[in-house]
Amino acid sequence: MSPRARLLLVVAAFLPVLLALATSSDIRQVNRVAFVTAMGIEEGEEEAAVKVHLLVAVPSRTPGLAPGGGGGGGGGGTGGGPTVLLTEEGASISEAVEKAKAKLEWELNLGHSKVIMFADSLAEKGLQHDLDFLMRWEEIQVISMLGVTPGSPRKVLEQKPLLTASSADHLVDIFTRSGSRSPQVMPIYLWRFYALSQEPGQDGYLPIIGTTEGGDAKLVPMGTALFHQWRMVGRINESETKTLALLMNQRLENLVGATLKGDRFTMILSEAHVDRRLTWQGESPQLRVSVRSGGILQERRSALPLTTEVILALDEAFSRSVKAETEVLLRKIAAMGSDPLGFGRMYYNATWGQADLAWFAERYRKATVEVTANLEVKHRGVLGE
Amino acid sequence: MRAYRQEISTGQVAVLILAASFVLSSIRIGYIGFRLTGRSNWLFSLLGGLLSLVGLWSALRLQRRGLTLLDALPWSGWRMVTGLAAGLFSTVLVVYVNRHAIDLVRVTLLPGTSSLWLSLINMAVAGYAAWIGVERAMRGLQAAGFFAGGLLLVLSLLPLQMVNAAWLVPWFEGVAPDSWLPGIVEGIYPFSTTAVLPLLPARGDRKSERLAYLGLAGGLVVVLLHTLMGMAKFGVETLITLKYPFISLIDAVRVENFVVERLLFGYLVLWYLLAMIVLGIILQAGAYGLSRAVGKPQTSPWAILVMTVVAVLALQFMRSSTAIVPVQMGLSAGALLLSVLVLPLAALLSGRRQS
Repeated sequence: MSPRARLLLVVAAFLPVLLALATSSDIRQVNRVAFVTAMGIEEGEEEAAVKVHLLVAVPSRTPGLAPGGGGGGGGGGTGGGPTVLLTEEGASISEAVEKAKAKLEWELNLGHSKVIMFADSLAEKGLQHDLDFLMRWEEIQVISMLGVTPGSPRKVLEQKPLLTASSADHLVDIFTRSGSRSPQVMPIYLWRFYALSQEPGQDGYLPIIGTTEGGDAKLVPMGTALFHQWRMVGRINESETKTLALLMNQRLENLVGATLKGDRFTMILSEAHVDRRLTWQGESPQLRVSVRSGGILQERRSALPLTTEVILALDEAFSRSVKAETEVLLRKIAAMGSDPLGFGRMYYNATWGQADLAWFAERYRKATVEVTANLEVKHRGVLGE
Repeated sequence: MRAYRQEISTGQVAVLILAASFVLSSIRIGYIGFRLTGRSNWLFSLLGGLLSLVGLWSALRLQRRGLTLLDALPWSGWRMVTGLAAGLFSTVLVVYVNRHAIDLVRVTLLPGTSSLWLSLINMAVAGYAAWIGVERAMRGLQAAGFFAGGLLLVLSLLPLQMVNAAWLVPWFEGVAPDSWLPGIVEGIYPFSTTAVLPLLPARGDRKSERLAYLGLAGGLVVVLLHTLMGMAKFGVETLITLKYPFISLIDAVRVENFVVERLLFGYLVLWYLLAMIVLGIILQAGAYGLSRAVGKPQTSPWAILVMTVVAVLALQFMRSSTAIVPVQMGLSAGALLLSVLVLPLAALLSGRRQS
């Protein structure tokens, strides 16, 4: 091998060193970094300003990350919980974050922020500009979960939940459904809300999380905020959220109740299948929804024996109950002008993209609703009777 | 000093086309293409694949006679012009792939790393791959494909969670006449490596040529999958706002399971490895062309070095402006011209010369 070839080989052998240099030139110890775990955004007190709340986890107060941290020994944190809440106001989100960064002695990292909550008043004005920043800035994960809070998000972020150490953990566990799988919360990713708000014929939605008043204040789901394009146009309550989750074919443990001869029965829906169609009566759209599902009878607050006749009557009672709830919900969301179920998209697709969606939106508000529900009690739990 | 021998087999050609269309379509689906041709974008990708078929057919026809594009015609002027053009085309393609490989790494693996550092490292690795010879680099690529192919396939399909099939409709829409040519140019871009193939001396028989066509077919499937998956996941309106839809597709995958999160990390590392080898091969093809243009019989390491340095400098220059879009259009147009006009002509003329 010639000397020149040998030189090239030596250069090649040093490549890993180059790689190491490239990555380690700007390194920081983890106990000099503060990680934002949740963000809250609301309108600022000044005209056109934004107020940003940052829930910050401090690694040096977490025993697993920093020696002597977490209150387990000397040094590390300065006491207090593992999180702190910072609030700053600026002309834009990034300017508010910059102010927060300037006041901290450590690096502030937004890359681990998993939850972003908006105040309802801001959502009503439109989230287009906020979403532009959140999608554009590569440090923010597009799989962050979004939500709306009644009033300032600060109240929610500073709340200590029942089971977890910080509100960020609580929100992550309910929004990702890695913990609770309650159908009363309809979580949505940042990227999906962004896509739903832009794609013609379908609208986004965000879960509403609030706090209960009083001494034992805690975080509670308060329904769903419905949007048209970027603006929040209305809200539905928790029980309506359950129905909306069912109509979106989200397979969750959805509990339905019905009353038969004055007695209350409840059933868990399994194998639910929902078909949605758009038909026309002249120039008036008709929203046709058919719900089919089997279910497991969960509770009988009655002395009625579960004979075939009673079961058949129960099937009807549950079907009536779901039909009525669905009709009310469909009329309500249509009147708001929000289309989370994508009827506008059906119109858009049927016209091969030539649709006049403004014309449709006008008629959609007064659309007639046709619901068929066919629910059957398939199992009765572990009691034969 | 001479670089190593650089003869590749037809099977390796197949792996190269497949890997390159995966790498190139990963860094560039949608965006400009969707802005030009909207929902009809996938049709233009299909058209790009079919046009590349012409290029591949001609390249294999030349290689069957033991010729490269540079030897197709007996005039020394031809060798010089095609050699210099090949060097230029490869350098521009290298700059483009390198730029996007850097962006991918800066967004996913090493946020905040200096792009000049990454550019130097990438080009050093690619230059080394070119220097040790296409055959060895290709063996590396084949081995990576053999071990990682299944994993890449499974992980590529993960973004299929939460797609809306209804967002694919309408399947196509009208395209303005002045967007046709740029649309086709965009469509041919993921297959632009077929344009450097005729520069690489290859050995193979007619039977194994089928493999090369299979490679192109596989590449076409990969490109269409990326395009359609992007449409069904984000919708066209969002897709045209995303600069790197492939990265966004991977970013939008959420898996609670830590094992899968690590696999995703491995996936991006593998992607990076493929990109480096593809870069090396393009570099080598260009360097071979340049060397032959100045009368050297084999690839000169100096040609590799010159191209590497020029590529690093050109990328730094382009970073200071937004000149990359016309450059990309230019290089895809070059690939188009080469595949559809020059290659078939050269293949036919070389046949006449031999008979």
